[in-house]
Amino acid sequence: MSLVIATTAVVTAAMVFPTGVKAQQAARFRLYAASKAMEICERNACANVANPALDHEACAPWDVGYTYRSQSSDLETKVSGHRFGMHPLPVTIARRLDSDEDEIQRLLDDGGYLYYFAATGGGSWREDTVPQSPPDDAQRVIVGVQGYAQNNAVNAFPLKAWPYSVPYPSPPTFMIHGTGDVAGPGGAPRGRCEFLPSAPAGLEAWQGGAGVSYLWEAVSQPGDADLVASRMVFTSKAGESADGLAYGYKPYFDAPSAESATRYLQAALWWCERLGAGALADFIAPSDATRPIEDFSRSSLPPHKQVLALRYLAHAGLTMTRWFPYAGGLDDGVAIPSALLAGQPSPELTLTHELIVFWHATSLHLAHRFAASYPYDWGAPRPLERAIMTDYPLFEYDLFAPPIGGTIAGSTTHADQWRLLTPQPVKNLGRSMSYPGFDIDNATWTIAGGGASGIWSQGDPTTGSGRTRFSLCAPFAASERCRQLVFWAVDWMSYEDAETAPSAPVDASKYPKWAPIQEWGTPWDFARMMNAAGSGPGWSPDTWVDHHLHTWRNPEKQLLYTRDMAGPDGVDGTGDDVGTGSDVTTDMVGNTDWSSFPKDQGAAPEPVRVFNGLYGADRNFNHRLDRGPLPRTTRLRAQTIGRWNYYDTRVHVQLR
Amino acid sequence: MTERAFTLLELMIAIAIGAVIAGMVIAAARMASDCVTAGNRLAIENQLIGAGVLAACDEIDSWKAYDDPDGGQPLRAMSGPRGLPFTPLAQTWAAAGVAAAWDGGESAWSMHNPRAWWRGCMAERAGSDPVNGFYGVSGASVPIGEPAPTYARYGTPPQPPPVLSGAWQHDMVRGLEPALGMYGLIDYLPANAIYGYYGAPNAWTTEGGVPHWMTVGALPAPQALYPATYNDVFSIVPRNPAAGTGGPADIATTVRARWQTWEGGGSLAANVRDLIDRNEHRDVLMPIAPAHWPRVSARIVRTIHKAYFTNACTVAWTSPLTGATSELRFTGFGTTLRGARQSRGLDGP
Repeated sequence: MSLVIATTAVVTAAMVFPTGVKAQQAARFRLYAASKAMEICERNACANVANPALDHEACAPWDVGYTYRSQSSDLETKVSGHRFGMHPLPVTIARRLDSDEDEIQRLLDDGGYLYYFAATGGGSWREDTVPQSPPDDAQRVIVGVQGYAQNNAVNAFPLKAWPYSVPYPSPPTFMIHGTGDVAGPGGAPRGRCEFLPSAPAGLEAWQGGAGVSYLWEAVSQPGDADLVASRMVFTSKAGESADGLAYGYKPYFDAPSAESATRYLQAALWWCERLGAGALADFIAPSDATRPIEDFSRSSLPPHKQVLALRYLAHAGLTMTRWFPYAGGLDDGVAIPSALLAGQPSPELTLTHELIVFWHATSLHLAHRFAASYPYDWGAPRPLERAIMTDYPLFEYDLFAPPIGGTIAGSTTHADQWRLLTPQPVKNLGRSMSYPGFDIDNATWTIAGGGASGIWSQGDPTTGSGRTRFSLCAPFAASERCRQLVFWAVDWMSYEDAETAPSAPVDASKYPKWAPIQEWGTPWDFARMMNAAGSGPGWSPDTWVDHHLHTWRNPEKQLLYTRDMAGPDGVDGTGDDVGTGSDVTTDMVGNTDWSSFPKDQGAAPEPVRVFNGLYGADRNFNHRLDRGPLPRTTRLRAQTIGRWNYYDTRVHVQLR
Repeated sequence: MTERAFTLLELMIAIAIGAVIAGMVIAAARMASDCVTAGNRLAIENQLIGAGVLAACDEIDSWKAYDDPDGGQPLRAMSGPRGLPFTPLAQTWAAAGVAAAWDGGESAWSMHNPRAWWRGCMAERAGSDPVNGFYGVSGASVPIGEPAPTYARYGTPPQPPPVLSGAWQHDMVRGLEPALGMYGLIDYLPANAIYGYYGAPNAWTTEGGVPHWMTVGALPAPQALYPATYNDVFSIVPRNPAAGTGGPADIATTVRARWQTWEGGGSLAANVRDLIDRNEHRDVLMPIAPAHWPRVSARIVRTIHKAYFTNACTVAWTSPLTGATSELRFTGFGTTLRGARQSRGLDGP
């Protein structure tokens, strides 16, 4: 009996005492999880994931990255990048983890990932500037996101990345696609203007003969002769002026002088009159120049044309202050004679300092009012100096209409995409800056137009519009925007392949791709658009500046191994493996300089393997190859340690 | 009469059982002792790490390492004609010579309010010929109540009427940097602010007087926040800064410094190290504690980089047994500088 009692006591003690240790360990993990939950939400809400190196426009929605999932506003897609501290756990490892109610496996079955926390930390620092740090104990905590992602807003219209922003006032927007030095044999341009089979109108040779420059406003609205004529504000052509002189902004910029500035102003006045005789009389000769005109009631012209007219007029007027002094000049007034351009005279007037100030103020008032009053009228660019959230139109995919389809540029591969919904019709949609020969709203494109094959969602039987299904502005319950972060504790780094297991499958949309482009008269094929590692002729390097691309690339990019750690035979455990504990500093993709980019970029087999993380990664960022003691056949139990609900936005926002 | 006694075998069995029991008890006791020791150690560590996390979270909310209402407040001083991050606005604004008082109300900066508009020329860079004209004359730089600047080639035009003037926006931007430094300037201005203002022409500006950029050596053109902070990091120095690798820390200089992290080439790790050295607040928890307790510290560095306000926290603990150090690193939500100042009543009524 005493033996039984003693044994029971000992066994009980042996079972009870470790629970205290386990409880303390769980408390530690809860602490980690709480800190990391705050971090994840903070980065999701506050980090800037701007991608200035991306192509933002194409001729089909599947040819531009904005429509990809990697650009969605979901927490995991935004935070799981190489700079924001959360990486997908290799699925081969995640599949070995057991959890309460098999939650982990169900999450994986649903297409989700588990994530571990980057030892590099985060916070938008360039990775190679981050000092190596002691081990991050929080790597033993992993997290998953429960709850389905929503139908998020599309960041921008994929065929025209509105809003376009220009300074107000300013001259017409001069665009260059490529430069003269990239013209190929025979002068064929390299760029996007002539990518489409039909040559765009309005191409010029202002930058040196390659024929790939144009004025955006002049070509922006197909069939609008007024806007085509705005080219005169930029420059007249030979024979257009009665006196044989060159008029407009470009001649002034090429040879600045009082005379050329005056001719620039005359060209701006000419275009005002070209829009309609006397239509802008209240602006050109105001009855009270001490107060700006603040709305569009003083002219019968459509608002966007009033905005453009005052933009040019105010800029031309201000240039005169560079050449005519106030005292004895613009104080009393400088006579601006009429000029005969293209058979039409420009208004003559006496230019004063007061009038210049009035034009400038009126230009700002009209531009601001236009942007605020007509968020879906794209007839005039937004003022660069007042960028604001309402400049960005709302788009969402209509998941209840059949998708549109077509061919991926440079290939024969078919692609589909959902149609788009907006809260109100886009007015003056026009052409894009990247593809000025492409009429988005007209039938020059196989899927264009508002008809049955168009990109806009089809009409609702009751309203004639698909907009009844537009939900971004609809009321919602808090529960509809709620998703959950679930944290588990598990020592996954103890697996023998913790650092040699391949990365979790990389969403193909993580790979940046050029929009359609041509080179020396030949459109790039799909492989060329995907191959970012080359040093192409003319443009060198024609590579993706991937430290800009925070939500692109393999999220483990910084840590990825560039060679197989299993040794030459590619098989673990055969004796030729890279030794455990070896220094692998030079075997990582990193982000050191331009020369490192080809390691994981391009269509060649080896960079593709590295991009996809097939060789594993230095996941604890100690620059050593680590192999744990646990064989990969072992299953580990992941302990649930915390759940946090968070607000899941449908649009990109950034708090500060 | 037969004497009852243990046989040798029985005795040996009894001794063996006793030994087994004793061994088990000793093993159990040892395990219990180990568990208690480990549990105690973990509990102490957890409490200290938890305290470190709380200290970090409290700090990013309270800013006490920068301005302690109950302790040192060196960041409320003036540095010549310039203020520091916690200098009362009234004090520094007057020193900056700006006519209009700071007006930080939300409605004050509404985009429908013309006075909040930037009225300069985005195309001008320091030293460039003002071929686009003198934008300052159109209300971009003429503070109400002050004489207009004189432009060498244009002369001295009159003030525009108030309805056409951008003097308010000009004064706000012009006044904030000398008042609070770059971190404070960015913290206070709306997200779509243009950094740069017109002033009297000098050797660093165009002939028209733009841009009067607010920090030495920064981009010589009017900039929005993202391009202004793309390669540059602006930070804020705690009240007891550590000496940086670049030289002895000087609060006034460090407040106005920028750190470059040029993307795309060259290793600038030294710049980042220097930034952290100068701007990181380090708080050693319980400096006097039993020797067998781990050493725990909380560190915080606040930066603005790529338009991202970051409160980077690190809680580190060192084992007294092995000397090994582990860290928990995270970023957190915190009060803005403006919020911290307002809670201290530094922005006036």
